[in-house]
Amino acid sequence: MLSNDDEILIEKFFDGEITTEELLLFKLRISEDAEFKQAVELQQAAVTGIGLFGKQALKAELTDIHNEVKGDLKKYKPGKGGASIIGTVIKWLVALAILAAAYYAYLYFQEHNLPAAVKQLPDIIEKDQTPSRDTVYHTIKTHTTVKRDTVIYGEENMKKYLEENKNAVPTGSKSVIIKRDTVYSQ
Amino acid sequence: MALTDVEILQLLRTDYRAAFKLLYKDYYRMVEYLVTRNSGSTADAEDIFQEVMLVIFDKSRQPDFELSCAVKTFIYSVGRNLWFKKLRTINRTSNITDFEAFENIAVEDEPADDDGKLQKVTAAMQAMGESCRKILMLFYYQKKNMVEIAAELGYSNAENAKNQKYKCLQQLKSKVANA
Repeated sequence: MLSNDDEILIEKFFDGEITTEELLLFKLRISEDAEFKQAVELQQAAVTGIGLFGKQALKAELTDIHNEVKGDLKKYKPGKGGASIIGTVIKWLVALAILAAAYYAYLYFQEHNLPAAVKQLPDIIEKDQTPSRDTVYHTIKTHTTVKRDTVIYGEENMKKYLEENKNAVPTGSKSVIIKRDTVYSQ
Repeated sequence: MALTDVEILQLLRTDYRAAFKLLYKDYYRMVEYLVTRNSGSTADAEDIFQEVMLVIFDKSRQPDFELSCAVKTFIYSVGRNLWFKKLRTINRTSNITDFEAFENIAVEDEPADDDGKLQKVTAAMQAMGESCRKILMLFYYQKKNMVEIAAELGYSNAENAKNQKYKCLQQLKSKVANA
């Protein structure tokens, strides 16, 4: 059993009242005496456990306090780092604008990189030259710029067109040439 | 009139209930907003805010503690830290959307209770008389000095309060050892 002096020494240590001399004695007693060491561990558990108990008690008080002031809680507006609904909408709009700009830049780039021969084709299409789906599809597959191009098709029309436009270049199909700057959607 | 951050910290030391009321009124919604917009529920927000209050309470008891930022930032940062830890524990996400500036404020983990001794201590505390429970909590948890405890509990002087605290602690340890 521990002496009263040992008990007081342990209490002084945990209460922060131990002197330098007493601390040396305290350390010595821990290293030499298993019972003393055990008592120190028990005191440590008691102090820590009181702290846990105190927290639990305080949590109960906090629940009461929260209930007391529930009607008086101030509204919160997110700060600068925040993402309000308006802020989120603006962010999305900006993102969409960037995507749209990138898309149009891509189209612009494509437009200005058409083969020179295609660029030279005149902007004339006869009204009765409406393409059939098959012909148009073939054109799409054989020419990289066809998405934004109008199709002139049919062997007779093509021959006639090529005779009138010596610089025009067939796209590879026997029945198709293309003219840029009009939109075709399949 | 609104209190300054230093005054709130002071109030936590002298009348923590009044200080908590102010902090709840001013900052509860902020923490609730943070938690509920980061995969949490209102109940989670209540838990986290309570934990934040416990942290600020503990800090206010440390004699050398000084706020390194505004109380609002402190509360937001600790709440963020605690909620981030919880999210990681339950593996929901490791990202948090922020609504305020924050600082990295370390929060201590709960002490481990491998041998169940802490559980025994809390059970023994529950079983003790009200006066012993109070004096032990005031001294070891609320970190009040013996003069303050003597005044609060009606002891004639600090020495009497100290003797009583000693007896109560011995009683507690005896209960734990025999449990």
